[in-house]
Amino acid sequence: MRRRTRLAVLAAVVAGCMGAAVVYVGLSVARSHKSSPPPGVHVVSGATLGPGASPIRTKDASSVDTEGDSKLLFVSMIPDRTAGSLAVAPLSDPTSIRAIAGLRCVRVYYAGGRGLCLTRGGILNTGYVAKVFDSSFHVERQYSVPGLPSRARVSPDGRFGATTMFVQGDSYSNGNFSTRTSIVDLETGKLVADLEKLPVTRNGQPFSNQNFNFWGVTFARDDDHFYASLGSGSDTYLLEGSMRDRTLKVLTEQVECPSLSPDGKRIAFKRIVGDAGDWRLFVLDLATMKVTRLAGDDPIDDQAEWLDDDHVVYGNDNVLWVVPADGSGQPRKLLSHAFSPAVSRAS
Amino acid sequence: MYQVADSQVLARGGRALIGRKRAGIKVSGTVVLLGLTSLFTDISSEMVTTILPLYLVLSLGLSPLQFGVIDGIQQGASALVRVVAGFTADRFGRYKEVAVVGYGLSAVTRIGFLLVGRSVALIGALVFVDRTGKGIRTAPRDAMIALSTPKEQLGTAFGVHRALDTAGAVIGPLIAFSLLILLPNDFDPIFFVSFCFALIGLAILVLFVENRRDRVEAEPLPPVTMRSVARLLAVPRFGALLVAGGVLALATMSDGFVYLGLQQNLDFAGRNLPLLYVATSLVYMLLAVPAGRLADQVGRGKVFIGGYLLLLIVYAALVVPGLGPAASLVVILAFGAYYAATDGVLSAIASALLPAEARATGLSVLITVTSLARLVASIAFGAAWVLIGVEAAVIVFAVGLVVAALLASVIFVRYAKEPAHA
Repeated sequence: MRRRTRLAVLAAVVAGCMGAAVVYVGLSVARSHKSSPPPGVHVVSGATLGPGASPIRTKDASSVDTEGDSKLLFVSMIPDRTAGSLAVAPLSDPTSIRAIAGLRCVRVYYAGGRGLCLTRGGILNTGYVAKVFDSSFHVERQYSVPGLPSRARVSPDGRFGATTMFVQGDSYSNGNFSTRTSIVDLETGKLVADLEKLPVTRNGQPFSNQNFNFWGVTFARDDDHFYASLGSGSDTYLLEGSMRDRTLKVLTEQVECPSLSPDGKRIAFKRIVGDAGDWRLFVLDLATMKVTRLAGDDPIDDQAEWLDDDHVVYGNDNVLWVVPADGSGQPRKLLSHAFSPAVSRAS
Repeated sequence: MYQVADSQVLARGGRALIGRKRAGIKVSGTVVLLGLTSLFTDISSEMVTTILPLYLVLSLGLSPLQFGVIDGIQQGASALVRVVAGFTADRFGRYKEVAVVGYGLSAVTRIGFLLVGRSVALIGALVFVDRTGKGIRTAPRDAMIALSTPKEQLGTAFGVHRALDTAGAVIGPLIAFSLLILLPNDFDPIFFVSFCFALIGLAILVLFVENRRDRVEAEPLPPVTMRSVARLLAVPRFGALLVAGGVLALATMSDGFVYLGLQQNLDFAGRNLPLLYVATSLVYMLLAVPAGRLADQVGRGKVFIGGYLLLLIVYAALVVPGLGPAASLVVILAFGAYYAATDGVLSAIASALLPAEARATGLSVLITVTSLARLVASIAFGAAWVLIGVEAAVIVFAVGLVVAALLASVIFVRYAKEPAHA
């Protein structure tokens, strides 16, 4: 090839590639703005929550009035420009309507009038922050959290928040993941505990290993006790912690991502039943330490949430499922295009 | 044969990018063209590298454990492929073609990400193919750089190439994050744009770079045989270089651990890990050419070992308590300068020692030895972290690094000293 031909070919390749890239990105942006929600999902903007807040606004105001009702919060994944937004739906009929809030989250939780939303932030949005929001979705404060978001929880009275983040190196040639879990006083923004810094005991004896990882906090109602899981190698443990005493003790084994029931008597959790990643949901009775496997055949990787004292809700593949907490029945689809469920109970 | 005029426009662009004219640096057009190929390829691959953990863990709901499994299998295979590719390139004098296969394989995987959907096994396979492509192309590419450069300018030439290469590593993540801001939950445009950059890099290589092993070395080249490869390792000076590079690599913590450690010890690092990575690359990019020139002038061995001494500063920042944001700045400078003083310079040292007909093979052996040593170091560091804690592990590695640097210095002085060229 002659020089001119080569330069012309290169120019054509560059122009073609850049043109195709611009068109592809442009079309993706256009699609994300245009696409309408799937049939049967009624989306409105301007979500509000909690006592004193105005009811969810709809185009037809008389069709839904959820004031006083329990509500379901989640991250809405309808594939349009609202994808990734925090959304609210009435718990009694979550498919009827979803109100979209102005917050985008990759993990959300809400309790006691306060919510925690893990979302992109920092310089150039290259990191993640935890945004603390109130019942009107106003962000009260935010703090930076290192790594990739994994779990978020708020104590029942809205006082404390816990986050679990995957921390890893910069490169995918390096599979060294570890987790960081911390508890923050959401009223003051002060760090209450970095779980890695608390002493752990097992059967009354000190229990330690440099390779400990902590994840998945769930809070009791007393503003002191909480539960979390501890991983060491391939073993996992259920921990009971006290913020006041700054201690952690091992309760039992093979428990991940605990979630305490509203009555405080049982813990829903995930446990590996086969190969790595093959988790199923179980419920532990704290009084008898009896473990019950919940119905369902699909692998679950979520921190379960309690719909009420008898049902557990969890996300799998952007669908929320509900299953009886006593091992009976079958999982029932609660809501599509949604993950990270949190139940806001009417008091 | 060699189309000097062909590439002048491009080469001029590349030179302008690195300020070569102004600094009076002379490198051949091939070096700049290979640098541009690497620049576009690195934009492409760093875009994917940056978002892959997000994609796997957040979008596909993969657990870190599965992620680690996807990642762990490939190191050995990629090492074998690397040596075979280097040997093939030397044997048939087909450096460019072998490099094209390597760059091409990686480019194809970008489209693959658009097609395979959510299958973890297929994504794992794509990552594997991408890595294999990288393994294939590195040694032939470095051999082409060496073959088009006079011995006394090897450090500068590799510096120019690494500066352009690293520019891609700076730009790629920024493009990827910009696209994620524009389209928060859509990873496909990132893979597509990444593919486009890979194609441009491949086009520059295919259209403008020529096999020209005759330019610097005029004598006819006998074919490489298994025996000559074995003899290569028996060449005392090259064997000594393998030992020196190997022991230093054995005392080198992997990037992942360095960033993890910094995250724990310096608060700044934790908040914006990708930025720390980009800033380090930026320093590397800016210092690669000066470090290469310095190596050509004062001795490559000195600069190479000096680079590892800079790494000691990074280690110190992992363990010294109570460091502020200013320390982060020093760490970024030291870490970037360490890369600038070691990566290209090691290839330059090896290229000066290796006979022309076995250059790609020799370079592939060297890269394999150092990367395997780094893998061993990474595993050892992980184990030490668990057993004795991060501070003690870093101190052990720092002591190891000092010992390795002393050993390497002795080796350089006694065996691997380059022939005087001034």
